[in-house]
Amino acid sequence: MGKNLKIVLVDDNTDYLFTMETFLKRNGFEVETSDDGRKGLEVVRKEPPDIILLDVMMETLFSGFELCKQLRMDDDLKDIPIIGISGMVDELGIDYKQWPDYDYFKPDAFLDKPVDKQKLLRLIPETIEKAKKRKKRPKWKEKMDKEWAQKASLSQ
Amino acid sequence: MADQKQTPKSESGDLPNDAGSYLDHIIDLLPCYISIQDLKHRLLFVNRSFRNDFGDGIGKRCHTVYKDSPNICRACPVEKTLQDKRIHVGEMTVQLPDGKICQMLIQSSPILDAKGEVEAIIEMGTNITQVKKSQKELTTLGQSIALLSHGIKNILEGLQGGAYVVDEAFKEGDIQLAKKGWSIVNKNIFDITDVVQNILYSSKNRPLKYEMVSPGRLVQDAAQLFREKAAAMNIKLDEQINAALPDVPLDAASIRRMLHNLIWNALEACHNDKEKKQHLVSVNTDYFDRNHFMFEITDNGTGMDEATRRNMLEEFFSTKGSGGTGLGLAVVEKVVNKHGGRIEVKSAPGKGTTFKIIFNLDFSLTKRCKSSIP
Repeated sequence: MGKNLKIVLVDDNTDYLFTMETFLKRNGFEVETSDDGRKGLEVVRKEPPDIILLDVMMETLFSGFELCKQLRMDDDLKDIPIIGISGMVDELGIDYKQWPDYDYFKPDAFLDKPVDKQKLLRLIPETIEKAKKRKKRPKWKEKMDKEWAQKASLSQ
Repeated sequence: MADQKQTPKSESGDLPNDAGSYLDHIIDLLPCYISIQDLKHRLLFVNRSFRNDFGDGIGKRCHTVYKDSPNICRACPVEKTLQDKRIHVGEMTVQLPDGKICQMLIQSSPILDAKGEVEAIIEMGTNITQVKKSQKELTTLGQSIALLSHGIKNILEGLQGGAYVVDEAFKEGDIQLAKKGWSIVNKNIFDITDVVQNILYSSKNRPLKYEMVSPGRLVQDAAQLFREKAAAMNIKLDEQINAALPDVPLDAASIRRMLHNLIWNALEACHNDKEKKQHLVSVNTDYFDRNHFMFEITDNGTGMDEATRRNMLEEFFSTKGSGGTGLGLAVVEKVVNKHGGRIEVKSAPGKGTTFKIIFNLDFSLTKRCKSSIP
């Protein structure tokens, strides 16, 4: 399990990136890391991974939530499964509910810190399967997402 | 029929003939503001509590008396009662004659005439400032517990992750990997110790234990604790002490905790700053002016924008992402307030931050502070 699956880790805690990368590589995954949301987006664009582990509470200029939204609004990246990782899982629902269509824009799964590593190993294939069943956006909403994405990238 | 001149006997259920003045007396004793208003909000009657705090006001419109405003208050419950003849409740902010702002719960009830039309309105106002303050404290506490829990969970992740790396290193006999893993574990041990000490400090409400201490000595001790850590983070740490400063009455343990938190925040700000090649944290103590001395902590780290700087001390607030709990600064504020001091912060994004903690040199003033602290 895990052979040749590529994971991108995005988290502003570099120690966590190191320990998680060590763990995932020893379990057969290919790993790329980024300690910043914007750089993370570039890493994902350059070579789309099989799954993204994203710190949703990341407080860099480009927050974890924002990165998730940007990914979902991008035609080439929207189908990539995302596991949201945080030390504040209970609060996540509230933040997402402030967005219209939050069900679409939120990560496919959540995992709290400290990360249960064995649970993570089970969650990765489950989330990849779950993401395949994610509801497709109607055309008019896709158009709106593109316009938002354009506005968002222009304002940065 | 009972003698109409008898003294009131509430046990018997008989009301005296001067029931009117008896009721007036009760209304005056009520610990809330009672007024009766006509259809144009003009005061027809006010009780003693109202008179004491807002003046007589008879004939004046209630919003001119409560708020010195020519306009009816927005969402005025009295106005709603006038419209629909029902009881209404609202919250208002009013200003007392001494300038104090207070939060009021206002309830209004109609007085109907024989035809069922509103003839007048009874308005009852209760001062709920303390309740709102407690509510705000609870909300802040809730938020701060969430932020604290977030910080602690990140530290636990660091401890577990670091320990995993050390285990793997032992399996492979990889000493370099073991060193890396162990450094992560060590850092998180330091962090969790820090958090626990700050929690313990925050939860205690012990009175300050004043002793005559040298501010310079406190700075030296605090800097010494961080020397190795700063070196490991590649940050220069220095101290500037004015040797002419006299010994001053301070709670040494609290000041040490305060300095510890400020120095740690400064080191982290430098660590998070990826722009500059060289970082410096400077811990100083000197005269501020003739009557005050100060502790000053300066860094050339990430700095803060105006919004962050303003929010920083108002509540538990942290911009440190995965690392922050907001507790460190809350503890600093608590220590400074207890000593009767004040905090000045200068900061600019990308440039760095200076914290100035200013205390009185006037010992008699400090002693007065001591006697008023529980």
